[in-house]
Amino acid sequence: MNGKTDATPHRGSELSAPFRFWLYGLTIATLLLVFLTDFDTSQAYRANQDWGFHLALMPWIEATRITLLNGLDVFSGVPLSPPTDAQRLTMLVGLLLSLVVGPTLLLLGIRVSRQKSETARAKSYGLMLSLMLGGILAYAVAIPSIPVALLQWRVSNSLREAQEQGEQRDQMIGSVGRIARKAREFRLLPVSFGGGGGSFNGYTLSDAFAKNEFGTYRVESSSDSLLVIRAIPVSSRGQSVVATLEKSGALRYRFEDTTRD
Amino acid sequence: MIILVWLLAGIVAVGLAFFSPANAVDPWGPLNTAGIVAGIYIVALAAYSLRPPLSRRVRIGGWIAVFVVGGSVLLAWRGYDDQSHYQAVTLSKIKTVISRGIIANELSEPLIKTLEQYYARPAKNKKSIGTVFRDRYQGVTEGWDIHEKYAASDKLSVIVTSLKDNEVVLVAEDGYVKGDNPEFNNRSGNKGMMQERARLTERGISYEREN
Repeated sequence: MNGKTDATPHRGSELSAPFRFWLYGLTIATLLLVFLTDFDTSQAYRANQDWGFHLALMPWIEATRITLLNGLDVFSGVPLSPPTDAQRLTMLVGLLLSLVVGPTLLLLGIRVSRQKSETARAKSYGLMLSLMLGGILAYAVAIPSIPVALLQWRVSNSLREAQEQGEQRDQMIGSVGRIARKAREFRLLPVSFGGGGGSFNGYTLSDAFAKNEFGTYRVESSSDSLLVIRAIPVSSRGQSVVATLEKSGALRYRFEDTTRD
Repeated sequence: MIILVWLLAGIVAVGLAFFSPANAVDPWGPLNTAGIVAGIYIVALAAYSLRPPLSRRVRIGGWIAVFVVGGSVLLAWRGYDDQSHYQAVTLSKIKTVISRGIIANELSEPLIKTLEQYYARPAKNKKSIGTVFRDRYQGVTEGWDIHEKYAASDKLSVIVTSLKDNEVVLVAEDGYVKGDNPEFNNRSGNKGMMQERARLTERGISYEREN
């Protein structure tokens, strides 16, 4: 142990002056950003409003948001239009910050820093700023991207599977609706015209109605006033849809799953 | 100085690439073009920055970081692109299924009700199919839209295209939703929209998906 060193009073910080300057500056700027920025955009999202320009370091998320809004517009029958200037600016600024400014400041900052002497490096505020900003931007992009990239395909596959099942269910409900309309017509028509003469009894499904790419359909039971149709999806492992049609035209659905109690 | 030169070059190149596909509705076109340019820029930047006098350890570490982060960004980017388009297409498919259901219902319901009233009357007092339909929709003539709009955005129409004693023909068109054939000429003058036809006689109802 060096007695002389230990005895000397520690007057300054171990951190260099430029480092402390930028550390304090960035900390204050971050705190101001956190406390003065309104992050509650949920209201605007619910109202489907334009968010205006906002900082998005991952522009692909902004593009995803715009694509989904376009999808909702198509769903609602609203004609599509190109992204607004604010949306373009959000994507461009995000792209420039994350893939141009961040890497440039970091990589060139490291290079220039290694080329300078330790004293010159410590005194260079610009170099310190370049390294810090570059590091922050690169981290902000790198840290979320790695887990997202790892999880992306698994999440995507499970989402697709769920949506395909939902689509299959919707298509089957549509098919059952068509069967029900023909069954109502059958009940109204006299027997001489191939109808049921006031009864669902005798109603059978034509080949076109009995099977399609989404599943198979069969008449479970019939009476004068009720018809029960069972629809079994192609991918069924014990799941089916049971539709009960009343003479009034009311159609009720019930989902059955024999794999569950 | 060198940092500013690189920054300026990168911003100009990526900015120009971003605005080159003008007025694209899909945001991914300009973004992907600019992303490719940004990727080339980063590789060039890394090749310039990660060379001697930097130590071998720093250079190898730098390249590994560039490839790991770059690869992750690329995977995440492509995943979002793919998934968002899939979701948008799924919404469009759901809309098509719903619209088909609504059209079928709006077409069939007036005709089934007409058929029901037609057969509800005893044979000696029977009115014709056309008369029963006219009784249900007072003042209806060929060319009438019998669909009651739910809202201003409701672009569905159910037009009576034939009204005779022994037959009623309805044509339904959804003014918002595309049908199977984009070149189909709709009755209204639109092109490629969903359209179905139903014909009622005393023998029943026949449906035809026209587009």
